[in-house]
Amino acid sequence: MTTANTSAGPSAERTRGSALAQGGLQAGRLLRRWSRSPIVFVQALVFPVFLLLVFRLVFGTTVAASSGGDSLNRFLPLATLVGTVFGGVGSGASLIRERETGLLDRFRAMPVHRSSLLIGRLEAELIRALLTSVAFLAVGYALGFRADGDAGAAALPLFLAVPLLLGAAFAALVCAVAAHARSVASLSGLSMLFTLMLFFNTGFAPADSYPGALRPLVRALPLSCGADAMRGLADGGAVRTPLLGVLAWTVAMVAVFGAIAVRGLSGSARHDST
Amino acid sequence: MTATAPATATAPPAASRLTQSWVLALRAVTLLRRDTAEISGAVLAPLVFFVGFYVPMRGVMADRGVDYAQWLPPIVVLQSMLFVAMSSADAIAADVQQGMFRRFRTMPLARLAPVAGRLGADLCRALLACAAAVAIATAFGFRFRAGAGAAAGFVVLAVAFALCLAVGCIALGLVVGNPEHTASAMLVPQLLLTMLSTGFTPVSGFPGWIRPFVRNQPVSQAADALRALAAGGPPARPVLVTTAWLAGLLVVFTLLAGRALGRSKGGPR
Repeated sequence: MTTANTSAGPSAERTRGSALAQGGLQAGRLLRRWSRSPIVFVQALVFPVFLLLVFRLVFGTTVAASSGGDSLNRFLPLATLVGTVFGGVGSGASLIRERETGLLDRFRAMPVHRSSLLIGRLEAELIRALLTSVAFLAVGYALGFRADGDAGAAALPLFLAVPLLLGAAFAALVCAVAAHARSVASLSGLSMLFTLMLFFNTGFAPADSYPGALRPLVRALPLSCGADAMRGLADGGAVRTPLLGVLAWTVAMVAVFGAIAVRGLSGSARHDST
Repeated sequence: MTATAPATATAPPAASRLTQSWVLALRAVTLLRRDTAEISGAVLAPLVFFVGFYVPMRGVMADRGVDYAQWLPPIVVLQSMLFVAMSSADAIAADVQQGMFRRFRTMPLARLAPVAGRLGADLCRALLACAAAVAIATAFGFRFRAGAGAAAGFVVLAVAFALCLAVGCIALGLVVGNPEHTASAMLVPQLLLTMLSTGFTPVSGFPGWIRPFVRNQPVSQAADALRALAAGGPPARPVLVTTAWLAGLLVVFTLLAGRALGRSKGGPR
């Protein structure tokens, strides 16, 4: 139990096992709270489902005419990704509020592993993303969506894995910003960025619709990789390359933003004690 | 605006009521001026939405014979106006939550003065957002082709749309009293109203069963009116219809706001 002590910290348990176990506790706490909050429900489920239906209504004919194929194969991946990614902003707001109300300071005073705060948050985000994705898949199936690409039995698990991976990646980004943000309002820049990404990805419109100079950038963005992989699983397009892109983005974002988030969370009491 | 609104409580003389509204508007504007996130949100939202829809959809729309630079700006303006109204709900709800309205109640203050004050700040944000939307659209090729009068009508109609809806959002904020809940309550209705309108796609792009709704709902009418005012079509009919919608909504919303203020002995908790 005590053999794996690595970094400093007066009272916190520093073993790997306890960080994970404590992360589980934190995740349970967050999930219980989210289950009682209408905002999380609206942001993670109601809004994206409406987005899916509305995009299909508004752009269904137009997009089907220009790119061929059922617009559901295009908009279901997009809406699922939007649901998992945008839901994370609400969680970032709750992190800031936890700091404002002193909950984080309180954790600091307890033998709580610092990284368990982030681990727990990512775990909770993953579970939320999974629930969102499954709900979307159900809505999609009701509308006639079928994941019948070339991946066979692996199609559905992979289809669900993409929003989970990107959900974790963006949760790390949101946590990194939230851990350093002064107030909830500072997150509005982040939701602007996410809104922009909602439009600039190959899930919203075919890559050819974007100006030539932007195309390589749009193609490389995380939501494009995710949307391409999911669409490939659905209708038999390329899967491996976009899936590798998703993995690369996830590893890079979790590593970089996770580190920034943990640093911010460790310093949170110092920022606030003034 | 408040001078004509029904007030059932003991109302101070009209002149002082105006002064009160003015002072509270200054308070709201001061808060706005210090809130960089709020200002950048008001300016950035139209930029993001214009670029976000224009860049990917321009080609597709051109195939269908629609000049998207001229088609899109009205709905981007209206959507920004909706955002202005929505954040008005947030601001009022925050005031309620922090006890500002309880404080107002202990003061010799006209009941609707805080609402009028809030609208003053909304007016500033609406003008800001409208300017940002028109600026970005102009950069991508949007032009006012019907002269300065019609252009002024465009701005007036857009701002009237924002203020009218803001009264409704204020009523909502007063009732809900929690800024987080107001934001999520408005998310889906604004999405449905803006997306299921003729703002983004001509009505022929919708499935037949939903077209009557799309064609006649107020956001479509307002978008048509703005488009006519910008492009120089015959604006009379959509402008009249929009004005009627706004007048009707304003009456309903003002009554609702007055009622919300009158709740539990003259104000929210």
